[in-house]
Amino acid sequence: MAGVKAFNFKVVLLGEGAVGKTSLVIRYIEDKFNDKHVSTLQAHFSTKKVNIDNTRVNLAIWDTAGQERFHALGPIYYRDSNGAVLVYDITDEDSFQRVKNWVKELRKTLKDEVSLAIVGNKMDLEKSRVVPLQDAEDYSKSVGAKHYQTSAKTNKGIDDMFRDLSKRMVEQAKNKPAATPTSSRTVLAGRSDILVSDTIPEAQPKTGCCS
Amino acid sequence: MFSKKKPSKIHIETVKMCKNKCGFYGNVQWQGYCSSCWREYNRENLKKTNHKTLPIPKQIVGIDESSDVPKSSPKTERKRRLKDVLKRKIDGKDSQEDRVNPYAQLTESLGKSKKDGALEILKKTRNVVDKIKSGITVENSSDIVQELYNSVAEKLETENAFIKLNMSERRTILDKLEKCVCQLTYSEVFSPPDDEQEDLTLQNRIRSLHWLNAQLLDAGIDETKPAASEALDSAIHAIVDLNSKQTPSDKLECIMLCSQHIMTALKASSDQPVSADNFLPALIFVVLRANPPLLKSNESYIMRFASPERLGSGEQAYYFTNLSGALQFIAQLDADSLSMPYEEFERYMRGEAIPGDPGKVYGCEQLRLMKLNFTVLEELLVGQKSLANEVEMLQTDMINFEQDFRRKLTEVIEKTPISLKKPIAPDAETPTDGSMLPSPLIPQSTGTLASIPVTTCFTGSTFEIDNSDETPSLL
Repeated sequence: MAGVKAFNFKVVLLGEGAVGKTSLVIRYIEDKFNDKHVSTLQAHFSTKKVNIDNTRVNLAIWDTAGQERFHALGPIYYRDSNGAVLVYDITDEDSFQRVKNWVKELRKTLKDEVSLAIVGNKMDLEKSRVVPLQDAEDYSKSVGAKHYQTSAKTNKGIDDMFRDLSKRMVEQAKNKPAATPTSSRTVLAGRSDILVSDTIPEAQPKTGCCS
Repeated sequence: MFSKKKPSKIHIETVKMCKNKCGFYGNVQWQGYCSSCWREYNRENLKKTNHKTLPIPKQIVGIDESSDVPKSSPKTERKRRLKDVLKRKIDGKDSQEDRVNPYAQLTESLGKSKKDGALEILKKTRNVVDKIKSGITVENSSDIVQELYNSVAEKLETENAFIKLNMSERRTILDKLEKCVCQLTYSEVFSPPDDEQEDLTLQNRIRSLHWLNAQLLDAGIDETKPAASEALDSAIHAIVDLNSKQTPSDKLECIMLCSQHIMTALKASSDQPVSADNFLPALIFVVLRANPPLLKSNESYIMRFASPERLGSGEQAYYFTNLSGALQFIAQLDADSLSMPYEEFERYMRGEAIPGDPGKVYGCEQLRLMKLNFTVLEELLVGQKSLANEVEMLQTDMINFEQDFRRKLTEVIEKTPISLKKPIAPDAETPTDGSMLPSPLIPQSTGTLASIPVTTCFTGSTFEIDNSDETPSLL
């Protein structure tokens, strides 16, 4: 990507099991939805290229295990991510609570360097909604996140959500060059002692946007 | 090898008696002992030598000396390294090639760039390798290696010497750089004592969790399906292989391969697409099953020495993160994380009980097959029984049908009696010569031939048959 202005973003998908994370990604990557999920596609790691105002953006979407028992592993997944998509099921109050927990953690560890998207999925099941839209929007605003409504089943809002998130990540990256993904080279997964060498930060901005 | 001095020295000193005063002649080669006393001495002091052939003492003494001396003095260091080189030469060609090739490959990949730039990179690399070999801590090694990666990456991007290179060539250079540094320093930086301790802890931990099965982990792997269990074996093989690779890229390849096999296993087990929800538990299950050697060391090694691009946001990074997650989960695993009562968990951990077998997980393949065969046999038995029943039923049906048929037949016959007129017996007196026979039939053309009904009439001794081919049947 030398010479071409392109951004590499890591987007981590968080959310309780069965809120539709997998369907959401499959829909976004392949534009497919299947009630029975007869698909050979893998949904846990996917990449997508997006064009935002003539800027090439490469999204690497990391799915995470939603089970409660893996909650503690969150940090190693969302470390160095540029964006987080927090998915909840509009018919499930608990899943919204889980989202709130994630937000707290993310803000604590990644501060404002991460762009958050709170996504109410399964909007096709509007009839059985239990999480009021107003509440979700108010909450999102209060934590500096953006709220979206999607339906993986009817393919509503997914593309827009990712596009909007990419836009916000690009802005974030432009404001803070150090926050581009390649800066992650100094903070390696699982390392207890973070590498802080005086010479490294100099190298970051240059390699940052054109790794 | 032998200097001119040596033989003369031996010659002079051979007349000396054995140091042990056993009465035999001593030899300078055996430090003044006779052969048997030297052997005794050797056994006691240098327990490691089992050679029957007697080693040359000066060499042994030399090695002992240099390994005892602390590494700090630069003179001995150079000596040691030199010896390493010599030793490698003696050991075999392979190790020597390992030492030469990485630089050669790196130089080759730098071919297109200008000479001074390439030389500078090579020089930097050599410096780093030498520094690491001089015995600095692993953390420091990691730092200077990462620094090297960064500075070379920056050089490639910015300096004129490399302006002709395209993207993939730059990548190749960085890959070769990583390979070169890692291969040359592998023995120095892989698995330092601290990591080794962690490896042992992890290995014991995995051993104590031997009772965990795929069901308890929600791994979603159906081992009864041959395709799934085969893929599982391949995954285990791939992750065990991790330790045999020397460069971070090769190690990460192993993790990728393992992950791909796990996906195959998951796909074979259910129709659902593979999501992180079932991938991570499956990976944990594979790690528990495989208990790969030096796993923690390998993890730390990759984190310390892989080039930053690899551990960014790419696919390899994703799977590596999953492996780290799996290790963390295994280390922290408790009753809560398996959603089972604390007492139950403790009992399993103490080995007092083994979780209930849901009929899917067996100790070994043979047991599984046996169980499978039993089920098949049982099914066959049931099938046979029902078949026998059906045969019996069919038989009674047949008998009933025959009886019924007979009954009906007799009824019909009784209802519609047929009386036949007796044919007139031919006369006894009629001659046999044929003179009494009627004249032969002469064909006659009749217009109404077709309309003659199909009947047979017995009229006297003669009879006429109509022209139809059918022979009339009488019951």
